[in-house]
Amino acid sequence: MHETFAATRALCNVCGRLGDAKIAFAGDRVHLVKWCPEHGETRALVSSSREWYLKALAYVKPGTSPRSRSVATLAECPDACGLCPRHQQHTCVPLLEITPACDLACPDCLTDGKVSAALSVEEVRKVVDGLLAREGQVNMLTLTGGEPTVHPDFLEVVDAVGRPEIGIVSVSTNGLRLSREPDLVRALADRGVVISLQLDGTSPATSARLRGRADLAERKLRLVDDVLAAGGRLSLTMTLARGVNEGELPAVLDLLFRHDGIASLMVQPLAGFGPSPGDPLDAITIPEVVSRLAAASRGVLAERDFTPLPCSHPTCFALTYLLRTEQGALVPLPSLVDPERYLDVIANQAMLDTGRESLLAVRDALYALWTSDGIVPNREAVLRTVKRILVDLNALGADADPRGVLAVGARHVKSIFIHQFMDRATFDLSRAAKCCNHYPQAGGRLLPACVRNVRGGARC
Amino acid sequence: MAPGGEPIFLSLSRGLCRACRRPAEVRYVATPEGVFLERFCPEHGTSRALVAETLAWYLAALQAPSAARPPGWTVPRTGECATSCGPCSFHGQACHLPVFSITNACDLRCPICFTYNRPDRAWFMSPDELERHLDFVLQATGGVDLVNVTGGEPTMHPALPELLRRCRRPGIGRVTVNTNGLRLARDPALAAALADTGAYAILSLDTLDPQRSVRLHGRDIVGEKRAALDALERAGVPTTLLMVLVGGVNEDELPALLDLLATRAHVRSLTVQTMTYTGQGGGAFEPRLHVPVEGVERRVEEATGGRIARRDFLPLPAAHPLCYGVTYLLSDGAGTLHPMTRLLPPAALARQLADGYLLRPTDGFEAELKEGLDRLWASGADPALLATVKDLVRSVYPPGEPLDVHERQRRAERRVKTIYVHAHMDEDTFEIGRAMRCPDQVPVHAERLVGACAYNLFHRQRDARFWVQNDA
Repeated sequence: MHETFAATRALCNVCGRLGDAKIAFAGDRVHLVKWCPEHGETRALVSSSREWYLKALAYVKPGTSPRSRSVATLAECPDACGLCPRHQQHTCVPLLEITPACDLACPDCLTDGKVSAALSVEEVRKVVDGLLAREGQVNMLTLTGGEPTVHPDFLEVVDAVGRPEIGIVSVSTNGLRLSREPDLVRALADRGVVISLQLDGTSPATSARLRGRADLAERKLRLVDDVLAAGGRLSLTMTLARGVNEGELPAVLDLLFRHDGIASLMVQPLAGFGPSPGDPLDAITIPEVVSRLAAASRGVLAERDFTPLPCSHPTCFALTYLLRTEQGALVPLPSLVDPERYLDVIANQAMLDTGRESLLAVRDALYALWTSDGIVPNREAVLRTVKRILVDLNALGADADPRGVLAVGARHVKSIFIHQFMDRATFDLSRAAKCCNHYPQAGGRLLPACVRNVRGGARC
Repeated sequence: MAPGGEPIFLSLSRGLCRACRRPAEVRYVATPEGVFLERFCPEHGTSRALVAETLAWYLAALQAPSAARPPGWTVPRTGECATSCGPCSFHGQACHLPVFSITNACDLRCPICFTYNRPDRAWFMSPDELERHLDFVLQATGGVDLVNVTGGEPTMHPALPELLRRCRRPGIGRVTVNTNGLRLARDPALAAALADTGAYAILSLDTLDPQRSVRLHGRDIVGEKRAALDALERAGVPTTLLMVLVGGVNEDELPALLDLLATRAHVRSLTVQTMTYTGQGGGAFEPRLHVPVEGVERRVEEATGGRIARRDFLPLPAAHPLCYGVTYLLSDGAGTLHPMTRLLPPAALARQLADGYLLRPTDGFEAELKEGLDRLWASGADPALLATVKDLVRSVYPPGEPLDVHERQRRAERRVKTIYVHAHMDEDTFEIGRAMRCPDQVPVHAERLVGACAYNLFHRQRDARFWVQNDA
């Protein structure tokens, strides 16, 4: 017994054929139900809460067009993507794959085999030229792979992408090479590069199960200390796997809360890649992560502090921001400001925006807080912190360098994101059409992350 | 919404290209001008049709209570959704309103007709054939609140009363019969015969203006319409007025029709169907201005000076919110209609509607009505309104007199009038998500049940009785 809600386009669980699909409610759970002429009906869980799913659909904001499109004519979705004029969002978060090589062999790797060869520094420059031709400027560029740090000319690549049009460079890394090479850590810290460290927990068992090596956890924890000691900037990316590391959330949150140098945590429920993709009806979805994060936060977070991200498809991301008071207490921003204003702030960016408009929106929201008589937790401490932020922001001026604004943000604000990647079973074309996480390709195309991960790179 | 900026992409699905009738990807997209279904055909490019006037209405409609229950009886799937409907297990709604076409004959040839009639090869369903179809429908559904008998023009069927009597059987709550009213106007015996069968009439009434009548129906039939309405009143036939709202033509006639709903006791409901640009007339009608459900609701709000407002409508839980809206209006018997939403929250009305079209005055509803009455009283409502509500409760739930739900329903309908807004789909608005939730189903050859718009767009053309290949 299920309740049909809406139609979409999706892939057969078995063969990946694109066809008719529908969103249906099975009790409180939300299923994506597909029909394939060969394999009949297959389905996947896309949300463990009907209420969250429906509420999320109302979080919509206009997309932003890139300056130009790599695929000029209207094309069939998704395999001709790249982006054509029908894609409904620009490239907010470019993910640049610089090498296929990796020093780990994780069983559930989603990029395995999709990158053909390492890009030369010259090729990297060309890809970035292509990206900037489309976007003008980007707030954050992520280097990824494979494992980007094993690129033979890694630091040269970092320098090649460190251009004025690119606000922040981040490196998505397993930390293995960095844990052996303190000089490299210092080099990245000196360049202001954000080290986005894959960290699934603090126990050897979790590392062994998800990454194939039990000693990783200890190395990564040491690396965290090393990066912070070097004055580097860290963010954490945690893969959350059913029956494996749900119990690690308190430890990971504790790291985030404890260290000023860790600006953000990204939680990614494990998508079904690899040889045993798991039961598509038992996947971890955003509402479950929200509820687990709230439970693991020792009272810092409530479920209501999380909202969908309206600039991507609203079922792809959820997020919250935490204000760090000068005394070190953490207060969720949504509990402080008018939800509508808050929505404006997060509207069109997957990170605290550094553009002028959003800067002003943040300032307005904070002024509103300053003048509000609402009851807020830690009111005195919060207000002192807000005042500090306003002073810092005003000191930068409206034409501030994005890095400066981000530094103000990083001093006072932490973010927690949940990113629900799609796999073959959960792939929903309605979501792919508004994706803002793209892989720029050597040929100039920009591939939405899940289109790339699910449909492969063969056609690029 | 974006102030003149980029459109807001909402979702995508599959529809149809009007030019080549091939499947096409379609997207719901919000712009400052409204929410559109935008289609993309690799050969014929993009085009769009309005499906809601505001993003706020659209988003609220998505969140509204729904009662989509999958059909208990299905056929094996043999092809694509809609074109091979039967329904298969992918269909999201059981059949709640079987629609029987008993003839392809019609004495009009309306420029707005969205079906195909064949007066050149007139065909009339025999009572036995109808019986077979009823057997099939009852077996497939286990019983329905409503059946609808339509055509063509059903009153041209020589055995119409017999057919309607055959519909009166256990498992069928009510029979409605569509008519253009021409024969009712000239044959006083027909209304009485209808009354005898217990059937409700659905009288098409699109305009009271002679010139517009020519534009919409091919000739001026306003006089006949008025006469038909009077004949139904004299015979005591409960009547639904069915208005096809045609963008740019008859939108300003809503007040007159609302007035008939408020003042004529036998007029129990008003159904406003928005113009569907398909079929032998509608397919060529110009201009093609799609009016969405919200557009009708807004016009009702404007026509009544806000006494019946957009917020008084709720999406019919049994159907897709872009297909059906409904509001219930308490009549004081003296020409004033009070929206029931002032008495009960829309969620309570949605509960009573469940997966049907008619309010079901169950035992629980009495308590809800009384609670609503208490709230009204506490808020200092008009004593006349309070008296109307009390009168309703006394009539539908008479103390010490147990009634079955159908009798309660009949009693309630004398005091609670209904406005249904129904948007059918044509090639421009067709989207399988709506087709999948369709509860109005056409029994085909007593072996399939096909959603009404899927039938109109894909199945009709397989039946020479209801299709003209190269219609001029």
